Amino acid sequence: MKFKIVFFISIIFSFGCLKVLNINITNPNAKIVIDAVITDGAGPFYVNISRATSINETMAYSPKDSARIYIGDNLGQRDTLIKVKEGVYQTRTLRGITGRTYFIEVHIDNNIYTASNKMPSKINFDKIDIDSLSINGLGVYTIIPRFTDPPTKGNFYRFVQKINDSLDNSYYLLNDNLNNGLENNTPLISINSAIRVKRNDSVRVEMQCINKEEYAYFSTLSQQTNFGINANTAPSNPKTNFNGNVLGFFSCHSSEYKSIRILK
Amino acid sequence: MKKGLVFSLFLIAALLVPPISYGQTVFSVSGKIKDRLSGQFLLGARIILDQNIDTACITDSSGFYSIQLKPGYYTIKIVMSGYIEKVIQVNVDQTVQQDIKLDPLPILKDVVVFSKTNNINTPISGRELISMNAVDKTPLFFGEKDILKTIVLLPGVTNAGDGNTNFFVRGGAADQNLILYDGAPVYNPSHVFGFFSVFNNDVIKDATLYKGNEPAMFGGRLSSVLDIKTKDGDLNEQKITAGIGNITSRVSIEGPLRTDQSSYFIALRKTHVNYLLSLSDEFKKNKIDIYDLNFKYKNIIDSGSRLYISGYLGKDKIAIGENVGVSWGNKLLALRWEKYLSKKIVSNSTAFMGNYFYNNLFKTTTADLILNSSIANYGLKQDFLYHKNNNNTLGFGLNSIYYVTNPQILFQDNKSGFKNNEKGGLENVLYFNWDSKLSSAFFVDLGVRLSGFTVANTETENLLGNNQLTQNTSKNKSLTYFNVEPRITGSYLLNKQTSIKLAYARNVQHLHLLNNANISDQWIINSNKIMPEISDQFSLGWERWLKNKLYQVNFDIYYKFLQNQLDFKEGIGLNSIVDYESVLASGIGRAYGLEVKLSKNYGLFSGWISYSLSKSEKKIEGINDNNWYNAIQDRTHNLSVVALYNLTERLVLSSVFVYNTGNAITYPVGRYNVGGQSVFEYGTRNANRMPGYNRLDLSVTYENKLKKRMSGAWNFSLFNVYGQENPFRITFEEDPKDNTKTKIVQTALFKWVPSISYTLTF
Repeated sequence: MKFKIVFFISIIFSFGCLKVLNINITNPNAKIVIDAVITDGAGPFYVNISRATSINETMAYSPKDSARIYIGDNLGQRDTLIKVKEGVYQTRTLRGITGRTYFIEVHIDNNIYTASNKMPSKINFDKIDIDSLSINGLGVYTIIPRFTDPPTKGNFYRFVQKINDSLDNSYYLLNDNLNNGLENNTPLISINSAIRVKRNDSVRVEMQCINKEEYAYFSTLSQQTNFGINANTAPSNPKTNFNGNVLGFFSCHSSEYKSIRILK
Repeated sequence: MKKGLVFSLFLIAALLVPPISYGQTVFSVSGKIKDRLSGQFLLGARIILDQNIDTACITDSSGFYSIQLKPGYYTIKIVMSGYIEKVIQVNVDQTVQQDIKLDPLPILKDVVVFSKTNNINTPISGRELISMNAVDKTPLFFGEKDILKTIVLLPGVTNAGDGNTNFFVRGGAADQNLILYDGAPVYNPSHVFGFFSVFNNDVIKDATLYKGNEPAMFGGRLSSVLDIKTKDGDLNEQKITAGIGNITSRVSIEGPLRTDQSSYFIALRKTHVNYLLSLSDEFKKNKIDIYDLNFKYKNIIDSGSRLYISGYLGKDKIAIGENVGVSWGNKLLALRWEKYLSKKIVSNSTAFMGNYFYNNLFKTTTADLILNSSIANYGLKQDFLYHKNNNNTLGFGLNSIYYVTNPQILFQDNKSGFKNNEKGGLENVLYFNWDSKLSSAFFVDLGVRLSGFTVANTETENLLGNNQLTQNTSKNKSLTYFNVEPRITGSYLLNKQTSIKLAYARNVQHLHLLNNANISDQWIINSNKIMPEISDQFSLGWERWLKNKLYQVNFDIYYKFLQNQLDFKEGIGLNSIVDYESVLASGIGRAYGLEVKLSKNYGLFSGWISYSLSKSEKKIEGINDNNWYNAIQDRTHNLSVVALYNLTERLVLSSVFVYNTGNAITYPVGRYNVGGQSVFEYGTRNANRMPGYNRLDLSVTYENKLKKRMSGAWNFSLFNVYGQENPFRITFEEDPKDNTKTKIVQTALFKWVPSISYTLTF
């Protein structure tokens, strides 16, 4: 907020200037990244194993390490994942059921990384509404996902938006601090001003009911994209739910999709 | 009631006074020293006896001096920067009361006193008297004279960067500076997010910065106290000063209400940028409205008592388009009654109140959201100063301040959405200070503050809901933190020109500022989880004067150990902090450094060079694997060169050059993929540096006498002469051309900023 305004003022006086810097940053101890997602339904679900790269290296999705991965739940399901390609593993029998706690065990290079996560109850995704909003005098369309928050407090939501089949990389997170027990009327507005829904666009929105830890994880990630680096708060890595020195998250959430085309 | 209180305090103090006896009869010579033209009392005037070089006494902020003399004839010399030296003869055969008026040096003469100097034998360490002349003559930024832009040129003081009035003293955070306006604390001294400060320069009489070793009457912040005193209205004639700069216009009116008895001073400053914004189609829906209103009333009740009422009201209101608005403001009121209980004892009774608020407004088609944060205080202070004799001065007193904080309240459509419970805190302080000359070369200043801070609601609650905020007070017990804060400074004269100083001070702080880029400026107070911040500072100084005080050299080293330092935890999203305590972690800190200052105090050419080499670190459990890491305000090198040249009687050239190490920030070290999106992996907190900051400013001031009582002054300034693009922020983003690469973009706020300002006085 603050920085946007300062930046805006600097433009008024036409003195603000941008410059691309050339800084050499290396990442000598590239960590393993485990990105695992279980949603409600039949599966299959995928686990991606990769390594972090330095900021100017080509992203490598296929590490040399071969992994053994098991996923189970608190009511006796247990599945051994199969490798579908380098770094990508797939479940065979596992079903995602809300309210259950899931466990993951990843064996790589004599190390075992484990995590657990409870899939929250599902809240129905009723419909999508389109709203128009004026930002600096320019009319833009926004999507309002409609659902009714349950009366108990402590519900968290994440929305993933695709505009014309391309993933909008903004993080849309909601909680019920403000609207506990009410129908949602908060639109999805991207911090990135380049991401705008226009006329004739097709929009697909996924609603995920997530738990508090997952909310905190994505909320921390969203700050990285929102503000980059500034002098006030130091950016940091989100807290993984894996034990051990790895990056990534074992995510368990419900999933429901709605699509719409902007015709107005 | 009050009389009784005063009397009993006096009794306590009298009992505490060390029994220093003297056999021979002595009489006190005392009075006030003031500017003949304006009637202002002068702080820091030196009283020198006969042929002595040593100063017998220095006037305090009310211009008061008091010396003890054996009967006889004396020649007394009064010396003050910027004034003609005055010599008077005194026959001491009884108690003498003599007020002295000094004539200011004619303005357009070749002697321009640029930097104020401490007296070589004052036992105060790390004190900077700020020369208002330096504030006046150094290059202006956007046409504004600004004391907060001048103090960052002093050794041990660094700026937070362009577009920021925050300053850091000796490795301390911005919230560890206490800024006092006629005794009342200011919680946010910035306008337009820090482009310039709330202090209209036309209003300031003098300012003193204590870098952690302040006398015991001050306290409550770890790093520094900036004590700003405002001008009194002229007792003899009406005066109007008006000025116009790039972004503000200002006017001040002062004069007597009853000649030689009471006066007023009113100043108003307002921005005039909106018409500039309206010229651009792109920005015409944006508005910036800022004003400052200062007022002061002075009444000389009788020869021994004076009443002062001083106030400030200021606000920023910024609208970005139709949907986003930000506003904040300060309100201050201070009432001071100064009374001479005897020739030797001055009593100052002060009542003050203040309020600071911060408001964010977001309008959407479906709801209006208002996020609000505020702090208010109400205080009473009673200070006594007892000039026992030439060698001993005692200060003692007590004060109580009641704070009310509301760190955040979110309203949606005028119904509260969430809030942290309102908290009250009562700070009670009893202090004692003894300033003594033990021998002709050895001076000591001993002080102690006994402070108690009571939090009314210890537990921080986070109340959520739809207009149904209830507070659970039953489990909220009160809690008191007691602290003893000793202060000691010793000063030893090696010879007439050289002194060394050794000092130790403990400071305790009960208020903390959470500065979060998303919400900004939330003041919080201690709770059962947030403990008072504590600092212990040790410092050693060496000072030498050369060529009859024309040149001055200062060296200072310090080491500061800090406890209960706060920082944001790792891996916590700050986007919507409801429970601020859950995102904070606390630990220890340390700061140490070396400061050097070389100054040429007067002459056609004057100025100073100041350099600091320093380190400031924190060690907090859960951050950086529990290892030491750089504090945000850590700056290794900090260099300022300030020069002023009187080209002719009316034309003054000045320049400022600054260099400091870049801000300590956290760079990403790597990238990885989560959920199909590329994200950054961050390294050690604050382990990286922005590129170093450097800048040269130049200005020309031309003063002209228009008519008998009318004078004007033009100032032309160029900020950042060689157009250095100093980093304001650095962002890392995916390269739009090649998504395997990262683009690192530096934003600089200003290249060249030219400004013109004109001031008319009549």
